[in-house]
Amino acid sequence: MAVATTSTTITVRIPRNVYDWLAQESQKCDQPIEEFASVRIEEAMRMAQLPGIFFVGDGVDRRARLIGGMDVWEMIMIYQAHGREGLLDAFDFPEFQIDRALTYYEAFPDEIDEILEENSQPVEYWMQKYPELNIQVHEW
Amino acid sequence: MVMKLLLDEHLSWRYIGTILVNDEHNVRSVNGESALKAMGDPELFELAIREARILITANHKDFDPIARNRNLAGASHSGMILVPGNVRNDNYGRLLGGIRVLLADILPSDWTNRVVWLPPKQ
Repeated sequence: MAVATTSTTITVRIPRNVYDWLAQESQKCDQPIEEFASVRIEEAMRMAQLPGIFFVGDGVDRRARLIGGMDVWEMIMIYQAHGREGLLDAFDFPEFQIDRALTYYEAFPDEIDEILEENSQPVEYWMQKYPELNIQVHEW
Repeated sequence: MVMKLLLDEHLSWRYIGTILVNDEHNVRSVNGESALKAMGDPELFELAIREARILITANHKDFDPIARNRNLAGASHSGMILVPGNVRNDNYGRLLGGIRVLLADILPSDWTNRVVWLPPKQ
């Protein structure tokens, strides 16, 4: 999840244990504590605004996930392939999960599109990015 | 030959998993097992390794680096089939055909550290 590009500076007094956690976790992912805290606060805001969503991942590789389900971008990926009816037919997802993912996508399309775009890159991209995998290609 | 497989969540249990089971493969499916839905990608990959299952996924961006990191650490994995994320219901038959050919052509022992990309013919 990217930090918003416009920002305001505030000073807050936080409990020591919260500061310690922020310092420890931000250090783990090599992120400035202020940036780490800002991302987590924004995630908390999104979770409050869009119930049923939470965030997973380490460091800068954070993404929105459906409670009891998959990452939002994955749901959007298969929604775009199947449509609502096709999705309900092929999978046992509760319809509210589809709606939650769509609501998140509507609110933060750029974030999801960026992930979808990378995931849909052709094999040459992945071969170049991860040559150690020695990816083989079999067409169907 | 019976193959052990693990289908990631965006692969339909109804349209892919059950057919592979009918082919007498040993299949686990995130879409078909609620206990697997709470697992993160690294845990799912570890499960596939622990149970010697080939992971079939359309999540290239997360599983490619997980497999790469495992290779770099000198550890092996039990194989991975990467499929496109935009396969529609009416194309499952063709995708299944591609998976079946792979499973028939490659011996279970030859899947160690093997990563196969399965795109549709242009």
